[in-house]
Amino acid sequence: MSTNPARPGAFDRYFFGPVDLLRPYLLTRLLLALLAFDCWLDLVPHGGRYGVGGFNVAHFAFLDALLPLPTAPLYVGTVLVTGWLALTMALAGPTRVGMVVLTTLYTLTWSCSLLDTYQHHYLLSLLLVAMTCFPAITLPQALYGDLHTDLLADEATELGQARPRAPRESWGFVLFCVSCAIVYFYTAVTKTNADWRDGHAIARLAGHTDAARSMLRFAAEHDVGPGTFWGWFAKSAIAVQLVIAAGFVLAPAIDRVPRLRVRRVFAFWVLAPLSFHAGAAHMDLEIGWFTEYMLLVAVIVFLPRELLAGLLHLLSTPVRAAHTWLSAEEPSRVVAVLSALLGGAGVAGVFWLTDLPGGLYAGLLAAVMACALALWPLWPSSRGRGAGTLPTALAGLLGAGLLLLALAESDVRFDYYRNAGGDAGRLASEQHPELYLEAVAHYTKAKRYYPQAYREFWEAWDRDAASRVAAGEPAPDERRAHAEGAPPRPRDRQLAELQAIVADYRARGLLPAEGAPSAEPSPSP
Amino acid sequence: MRRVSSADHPIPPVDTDPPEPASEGPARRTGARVFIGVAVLAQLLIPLTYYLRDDPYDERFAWRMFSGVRLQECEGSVTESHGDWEEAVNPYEVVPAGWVTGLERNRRPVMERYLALRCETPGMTSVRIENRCHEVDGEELPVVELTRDCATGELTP
Repeated sequence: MSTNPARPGAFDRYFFGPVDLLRPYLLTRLLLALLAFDCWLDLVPHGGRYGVGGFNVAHFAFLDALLPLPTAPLYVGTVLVTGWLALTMALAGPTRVGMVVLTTLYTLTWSCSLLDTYQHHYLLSLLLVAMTCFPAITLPQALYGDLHTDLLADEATELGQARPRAPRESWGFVLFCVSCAIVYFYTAVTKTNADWRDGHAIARLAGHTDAARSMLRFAAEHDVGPGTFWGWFAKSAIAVQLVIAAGFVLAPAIDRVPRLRVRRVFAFWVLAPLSFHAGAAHMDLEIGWFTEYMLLVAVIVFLPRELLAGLLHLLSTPVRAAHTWLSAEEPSRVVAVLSALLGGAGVAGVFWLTDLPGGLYAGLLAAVMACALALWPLWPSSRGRGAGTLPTALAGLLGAGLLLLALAESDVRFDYYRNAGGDAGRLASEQHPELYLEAVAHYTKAKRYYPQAYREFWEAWDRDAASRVAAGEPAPDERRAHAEGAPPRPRDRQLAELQAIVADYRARGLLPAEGAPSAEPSPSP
Repeated sequence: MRRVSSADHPIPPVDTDPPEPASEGPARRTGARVFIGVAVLAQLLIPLTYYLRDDPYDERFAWRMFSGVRLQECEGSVTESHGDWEEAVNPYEVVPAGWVTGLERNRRPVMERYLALRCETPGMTSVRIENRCHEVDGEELPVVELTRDCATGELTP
């Protein structure tokens, strides 16, 4: 690498060359928003298993020594606040310190325990590190900062805006693309072993799906047997992943190519990740939201800026309106501080309403962060203004409100409490009767949050099953229904059984009478 | 309150943004180069460490999504010895289901911690975990076994 600024070497040209700031801008907004909902909807339901029986193994031995035992309240609280911070920064714009805190919190959520070994969680930590290195980008810079055309800049001038500055570098974005390329490269290379190449692995993964069955039928019509089909399918997956890896390496450089036609043709590279991940979405791979993340990243990295700018213009309309309204007048310091404090209190209040373990701790942490984020523009070294306080405080409140909405409109709380109740019920015994109490408490909450639509589904199912049996027909296959996406049954029966056990244990003196203080839970079942 | 921008301008004017540093100083640029170099090198080298480890089941950080190892089907059993008698134990009644998955996937740190936990039970002399796994093509693999002597803490094999 050359350190001569007059003649930069290939390393400098690649990493420090100009970047279309629209792409990192969109990543910081959309990826963080997706991360927030991923945290709340996909991670929280599994939080009940953390710390049960005092058992845990962290990803790294030093974390076992450094961190307290990750209990359900600690884990769920951290996940809730991580999601809130991500969404607040997606709405209000990220800060460097905020990104460092977010990356640390998110990394802790998976690294604190080997209960979470999803590889895309490590990937997200890597991508968050790269995003921490993104420069501060404003909406006009993203919308009008085309690397090649002055027309858009002129349009900005016509709209009454100052002309955006010359294109800037964003080595964080280049690092982001390189990180994606490395992951795709390795996932391709590690599939070159015989198990994958011969198609055994992909047949096991996808063979049972409807999509696979129809593809196999199509192949059979053309005299291609299942073995040959899966072999070619597996090899094509390797090839597509290598193509995607190459695309991510090229993407930052392609934006710098002056010829529009080259850039337009390169945009078709997006078809590689789209086809790969759309195919993966049709297999029951149990990979969380990995597909959604990688589709979003591919769209932002590969699609032409014109399309992305149009999308951003549309999406940012309400944000621009709110920003105009809120920053029309700069508030006094007192008003700014008061609004930050009120915003923080509001955020804490909303977290308290989540009715999840750790909600209170997360609310207090989020309140402190909400105040810090809102007051950050007043800090002398931030070079900001008080005008930024109100939008940030509002973004914090909006983030908390969306958290509550996500919980109310999803099965998260039902799933959390039924999973936690299931674990406690399985571990309960005469030696650990207090776990029966925990199971009853969890299942009681699961009953509270059981969606009415699910109840109606199973009531109709049971009526249908009863009428079939009465008519001498076999009952419908419930296991198959679950495999095909039927909702979980209510836990009323399990709750009644556990309540009966608790009543029996109370009568035998193994558990304290109702209302009496419960015994300390044992460290291990 | 002091008026700072016109509501006629829906997008905040660029020139009200924080001033941009004219250019990155040489020290800052060198720091960035070092950071990028370390980050890229680490991402390239860490997955390779999988091939140097003794434990084929620890596929973390190696980007071996859906590898043959990951797709092996394993059936685990746990046996606890109390002096001269032993019993088969259902691990689902000892730790949450998520940890049993770790035991059945031969995750060594989870197996070791589990054995240590069970050895804390009074009267326990040894605990053994056995996993019988099949390759993705159905071929049976050698049994994976780990035993802890509760008195000495020694792990075998």
